[in-house]
Amino acid sequence: MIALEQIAFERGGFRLEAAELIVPEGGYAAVIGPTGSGKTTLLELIAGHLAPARGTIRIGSRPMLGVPPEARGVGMVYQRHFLFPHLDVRANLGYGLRGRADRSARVTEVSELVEVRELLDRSVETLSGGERQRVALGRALAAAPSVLLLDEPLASLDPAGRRRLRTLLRRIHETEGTTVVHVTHDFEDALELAAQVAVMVSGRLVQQGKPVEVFRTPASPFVAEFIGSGNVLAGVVTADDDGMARFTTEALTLEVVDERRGRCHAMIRPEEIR
Amino acid sequence: MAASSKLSRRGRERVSILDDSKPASADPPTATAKRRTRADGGTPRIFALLAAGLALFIIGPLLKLLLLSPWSGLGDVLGDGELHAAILVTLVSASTATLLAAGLGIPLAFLLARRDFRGRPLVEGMIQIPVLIPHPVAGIALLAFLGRDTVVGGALAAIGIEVINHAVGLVVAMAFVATPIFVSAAQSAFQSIDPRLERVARTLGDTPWSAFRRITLPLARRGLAAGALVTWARAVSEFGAIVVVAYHPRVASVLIYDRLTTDGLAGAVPAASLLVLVALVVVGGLAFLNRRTG
Repeated sequence: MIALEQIAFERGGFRLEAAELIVPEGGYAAVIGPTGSGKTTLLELIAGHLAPARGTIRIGSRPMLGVPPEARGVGMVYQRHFLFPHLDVRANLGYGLRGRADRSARVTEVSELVEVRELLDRSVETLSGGERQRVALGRALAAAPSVLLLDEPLASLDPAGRRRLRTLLRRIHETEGTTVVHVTHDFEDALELAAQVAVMVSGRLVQQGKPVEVFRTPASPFVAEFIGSGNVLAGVVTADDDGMARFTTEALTLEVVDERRGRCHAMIRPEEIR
Repeated sequence: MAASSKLSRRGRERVSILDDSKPASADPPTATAKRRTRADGGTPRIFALLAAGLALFIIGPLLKLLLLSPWSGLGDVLGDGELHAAILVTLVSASTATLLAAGLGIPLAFLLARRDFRGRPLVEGMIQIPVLIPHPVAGIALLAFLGRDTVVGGALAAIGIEVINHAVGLVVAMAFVATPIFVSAAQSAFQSIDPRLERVARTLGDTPWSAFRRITLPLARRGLAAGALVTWARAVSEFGAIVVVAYHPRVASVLIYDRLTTDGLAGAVPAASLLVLVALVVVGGLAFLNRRTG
């Protein structure tokens, strides 16, 4: 379980405030938002690379104040994999298992899990983007962290690579039961993988809920446009003499079923047009 | 809000015919083409002329020095005990100074590369001052700080460490003028490594020290080695600070100067030529490191 409460962090004029984010044990949460909204900063706060100015972070039941990254039991995968270039695939996978008697067996096990068994003796420089990302995922999973932090792991992959890694992530989450926080700017990742979504805009968590809920009832026009819920139109709702409500924009007028009146935004979903 | 009106969708299907024939440019470029591509940036011809002039300006005097050297009397040079001793003192002092520069310079360079602390630009500027001032001035500063009559010099003398006109003074003078070179090189080497590699290592169980030892240091090793080589070469070639701090025991540069003032050019050339050869070895070492890195 991960719980963030009243977190505040500031650096170089950027301010992040996370009132509350709770990911249950074994849960899969997606944090989505545009570039520069603070998603990676949020992950680095959880990992312990950054310290919040105030607020509490708990992993499991342990408060993380003053706990260094190496003692938090988190694994992290960045968008650009960050494999250690001076080590081969086997050494990368076993990096976090130093001194463990079962290191070799665990490396083999993880290499099968992330489908890189045949690459174990290869230099990481010779791998494709998808292979590198799978090795990075395996490296993070090898030490069986209680929390897996994913920072846009699919963003730099081609469509086939994305599909394969998505499938892999879903399967690993089901089999390993690790709590996952997955940062992405692609709502499709959230829809396919996550049980809960938090939308981050300009350093604030502006909406949370199940992916379908966020998709169907975005909290603001920005969220609606960002997650691609549909076409967002600005207009005015007025009441007719016959009591019907009309939503009027510069280009069109629609009859609507709604109690609200005045300026507002309406969302039209292509799949609901008949 | 739900829109209840019916909208119709109009549009025409557009069909794109894709040409799957292989484009001519997909052929891999030949070696000749690659060379041509490198030259195709459009370098002004005057640059080549000026570059040739500069190369001649640098190489000319050194080549002339090597040609002046009486290589037929190489046996005499190699059998010159005084020169042997001076070269040995130079090599040992320069190597010790380089180790000192690396031992103290690596932590400072890493801090400068990774930490954004108050006063960092000041520290970065101050550390480069020994390179910017005339080297006799550096020697005078060291004399003023480490002379027998000073607090530090007196304290060192009390525990049996003599600096002025001793081998320790040589190492100190060499380290003083050469360490900034190492710090700059090491800082660049550390800055070229993405700190997120260290962060990943931390989440995999490393302490800051073990992440530095297992990730940063191996990845920076070529930059550090190149920096150490240039630092060592700078220490070998030091003269100005050494003549002020520790004229004796004589290092090669001081011996060459002595011979120039007493025996003229003919007396100084053989030993000077040997130092040029040492520099060529350093250049060869740097080229090797660059090739390995590249």
